[in-house]
Amino acid sequence: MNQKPDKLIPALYGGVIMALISSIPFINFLNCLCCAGVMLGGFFAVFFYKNNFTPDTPPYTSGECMGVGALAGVFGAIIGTMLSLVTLALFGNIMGDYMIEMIRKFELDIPMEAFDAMEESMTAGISFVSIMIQLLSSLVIDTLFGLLGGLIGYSVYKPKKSIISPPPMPQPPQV
Amino acid sequence: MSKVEHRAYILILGCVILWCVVLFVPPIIAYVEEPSQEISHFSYRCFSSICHQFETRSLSIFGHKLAVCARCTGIYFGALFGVILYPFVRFGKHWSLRTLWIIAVLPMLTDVLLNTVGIHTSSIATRLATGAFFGIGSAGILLPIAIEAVTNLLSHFSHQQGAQYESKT
Repeated sequence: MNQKPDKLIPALYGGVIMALISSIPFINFLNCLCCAGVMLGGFFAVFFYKNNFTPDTPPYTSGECMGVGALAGVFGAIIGTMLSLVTLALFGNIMGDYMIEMIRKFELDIPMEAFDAMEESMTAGISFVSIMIQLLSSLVIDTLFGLLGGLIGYSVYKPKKSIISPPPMPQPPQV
Repeated sequence: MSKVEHRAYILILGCVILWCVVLFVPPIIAYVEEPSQEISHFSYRCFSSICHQFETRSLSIFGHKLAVCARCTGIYFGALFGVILYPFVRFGKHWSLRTLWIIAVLPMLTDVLLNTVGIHTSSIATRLATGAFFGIGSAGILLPIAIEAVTNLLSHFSHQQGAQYESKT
């Protein structure tokens, strides 16, 4: 039997998907659905991982899929933080502006102090501390939800147990 | 459940409880450090990537919103409830995973869609209830796989430790 395929490359692909979803403005709204974007990255990591399997390789286990999802989360957090800095530098905080605009437009019942704090935090510039906080929180959250995405991926692409038929019984010699 | 599976279950339960407890940390920090908001602002920010955190759509404690909205809170606490229930109740054993996922997500999706179309207005209660239903359902679906995965890892580590011990002695 062949050796199992490498986990790094599928995890990297999953991480890139995760990072793109998490850092592109407006697409990152998907993460408001219980971190769906991050879980999707973990799910796709498992999808790419299972594509590398041939009938000769031993089947993948749930533990491996969980590991691939978690690894995708680590990649996703690092790449996502870098990408969000790039989008912030290129386009500014358009998500923050949009959210404030939405709150104003729909006249949501938010106390003035809370609104001011929200406005201040959304329009705040980038600092080393804020980048580190984003990176650390993404590392924890993306790994956790990537792991869950990996498990969902395993539940969807679970290898079917092959039923090995017993060898035919030798026929007694006919007299 | 075997001994290793039981350990895996306890480990997962511990992680889910920890996650649910962590959701209360930002409002507690905000309450303790009032009127300043420096530390609580950062603690809320840690969760901003997974939830919109709108005050009007969130449950609050000590006058401060939780780290995530009511729907997310429902999902996480529903998942916790599902994990606690798991040793006693196994549902949908003979149904396909796809059917189970559809059943779990349907009430939440209906609530969101009807609210978007304008037929019904979702309230904190409907968000919490449909989120909790999804949480219980997804815990029921994912927990056997998660237990299997953690059991694999635990047996792998204990096997490695045994091999190391043997090579030393």
